[in-house]
Amino acid sequence: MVKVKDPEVIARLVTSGSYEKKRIFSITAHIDHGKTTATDYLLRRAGLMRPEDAGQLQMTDSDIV
Amino acid sequence: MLAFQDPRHPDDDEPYIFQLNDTPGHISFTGEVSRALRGSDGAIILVDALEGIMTQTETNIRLAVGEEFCKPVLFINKVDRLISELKLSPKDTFEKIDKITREVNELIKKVRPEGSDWSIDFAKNSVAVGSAKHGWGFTYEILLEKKLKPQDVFAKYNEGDIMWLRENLPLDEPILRMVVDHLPNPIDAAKYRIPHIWGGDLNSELGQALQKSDPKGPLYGMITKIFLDPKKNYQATLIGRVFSGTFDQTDSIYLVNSKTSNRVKRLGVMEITDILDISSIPAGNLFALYGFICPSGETFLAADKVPKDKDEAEKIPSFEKINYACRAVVSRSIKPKDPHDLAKLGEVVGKWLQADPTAEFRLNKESMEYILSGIDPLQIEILTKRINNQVKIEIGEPIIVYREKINKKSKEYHTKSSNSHNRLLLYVEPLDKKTEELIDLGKITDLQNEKERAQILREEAGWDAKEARRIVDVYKGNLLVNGTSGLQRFDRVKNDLVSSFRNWLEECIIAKEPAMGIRATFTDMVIHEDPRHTQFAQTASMAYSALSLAMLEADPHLYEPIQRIDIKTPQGTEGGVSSIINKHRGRIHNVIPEGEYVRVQGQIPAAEIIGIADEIRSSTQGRAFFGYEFLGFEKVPGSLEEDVILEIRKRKGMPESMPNTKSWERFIYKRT
Repeated sequence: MVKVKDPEVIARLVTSGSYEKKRIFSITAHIDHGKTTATDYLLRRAGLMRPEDAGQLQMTDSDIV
Repeated sequence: MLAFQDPRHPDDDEPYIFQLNDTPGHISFTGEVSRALRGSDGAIILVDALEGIMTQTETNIRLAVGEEFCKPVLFINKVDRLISELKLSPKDTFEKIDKITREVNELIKKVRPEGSDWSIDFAKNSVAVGSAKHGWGFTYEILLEKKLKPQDVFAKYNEGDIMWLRENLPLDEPILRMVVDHLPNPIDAAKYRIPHIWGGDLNSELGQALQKSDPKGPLYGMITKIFLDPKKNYQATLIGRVFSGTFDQTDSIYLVNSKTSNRVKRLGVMEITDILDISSIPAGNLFALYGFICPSGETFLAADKVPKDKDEAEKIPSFEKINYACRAVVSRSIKPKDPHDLAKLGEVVGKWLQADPTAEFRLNKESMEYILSGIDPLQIEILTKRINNQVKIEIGEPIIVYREKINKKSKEYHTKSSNSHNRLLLYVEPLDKKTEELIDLGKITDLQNEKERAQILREEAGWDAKEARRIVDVYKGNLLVNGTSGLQRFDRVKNDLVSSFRNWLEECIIAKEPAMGIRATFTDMVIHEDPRHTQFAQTASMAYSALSLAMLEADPHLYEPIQRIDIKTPQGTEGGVSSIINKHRGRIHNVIPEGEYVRVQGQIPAAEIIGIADEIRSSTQGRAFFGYEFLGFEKVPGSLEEDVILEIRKRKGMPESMPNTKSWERFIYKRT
């Protein structure tokens, strides 16, 4: 599993003129179908979240008040 | 902002970079979902294997694929529930997965861009299956590579070996592969998305740059989300996408709808809740910034590129309007526990509404409380909780917002102002369906230029060319038309007339509920030459009285919001569910058996929906799934109308009798 969380790498990828490997997307679901849990797993893979927190914290849940 | 190395090509020079637009989970934030999709090129449609396609799945596919041209892939989640709760065999489990795939494909086919081959297929690895909760999932390709059969996976699950599943079939792998293999990059997507989502001339310099997502083009983009972080004292972070040009931190940006220029304090990309500073962001990327706040959904460009000429600046093209269901259906009053906080409360509410422009609020000056209204009780509940975190408030019960509509054309009413120096001749009639629809879709607005508006009305709603250019105001599904020719001194009272019209519409005459579908036309007006005699109160008195008298004669009635409901309930319980709907003045449209479930679809007045969820829960032992969304307005049944009207009037401290012409008669102009 290769994950890249170095800010310099992110900045370079964002500003680079190459688009082949860029993807901009959304995840959509009916309420409680598991969107946030799934998103958290992607974050975990990208190293933005501790593995043990994935699926527990719902860090990206916009509905949290 | 996530960077990944493709696990199939670990030696690649550059990793993939994924930019994820966060969407909220609940339907009440449809506007927010659409804006996130507007900023995206692809969408992962996630479906619960047990519940299958629900109301919001359908809405999401329609919005993602049909409205925003986002290419879809499918993730079928919670497959473990089929095994553990339904005890399905591997074969039946796969049949169920097949069925969901087929249904999703049917929905995609209905709305996908013409000529596209967008569909999803497990055999082509654009469908993944798994359990997000337990962290595993696979596509067909992954199973083949691991030399596994679906049966092996289900056997491991039955043995309770979640660890094995998680280690051998980690969930992120199929998601990552689907995104890499099936979702388009920004350059490919721009070619077909821009002509669909952007309203300008495709052959212009900007149009060409947008279709290429060209970092060297003129700067142009959209704000798709406002994020108010409680941990940062609710400072607003604006999230958006650069569609053309390169956004530099030193750029001042001009907002096309707000018509203001704004400075950026910090620019970068979002990493969950923090900004990672990047001083310049080229087209084909999302960004995050601090520095100012504006309504979510704004189009922007570089402030120094805005034409100096006002008329030219008016013509700056913006993105196609996102069609939110932007109607107040339910409201709650809020007021600060400490009366000194009233101003602060206004500020806080204002900020939240920039983030969610589908809700609205206004101050009731008599009770000194804010009325917060929106399309869905849950939306308002979430908003009130968020507000309460910043200012302690008292929150009223949810109240249904009705509409006041008319059913025939009135005769002309001739009224005078309270000082008798000004006169107005006016009639009202129901707005035609087509025009009402155009206003609803945001194609006709008060902000657009007169020529453009007239052209749309002429071409799409069959308006007379001359009449179409005489629209004085467009407001929430209503129109004010100038039916005179060569009116003297009209400019002096125009703004007052428009605000009077709007105030009158907001609290109309049956029960001070908002009016809808009204076209008012004035055919004569006499405006006194001395400005001291034409102040606001004068214009307002003759306008209010003429509008009210005309409306009372035009067969006015109260209309209530109706929700479409979609209930999936275990076989054998559908009779009970149907009778609950009928008991609450609902109607059943379809009853469709779907394997072990029955789908009951129908409609029910919003006023009845508040208690119905509990009743359905208890009648089905909590085994039914329930979804609803706004359908439209219907006339309150005659047998109930008077009671409903009197009840609202009582609540609002109005005279507890049906409306009549008495209070307006003294304004009727009689020739002497």
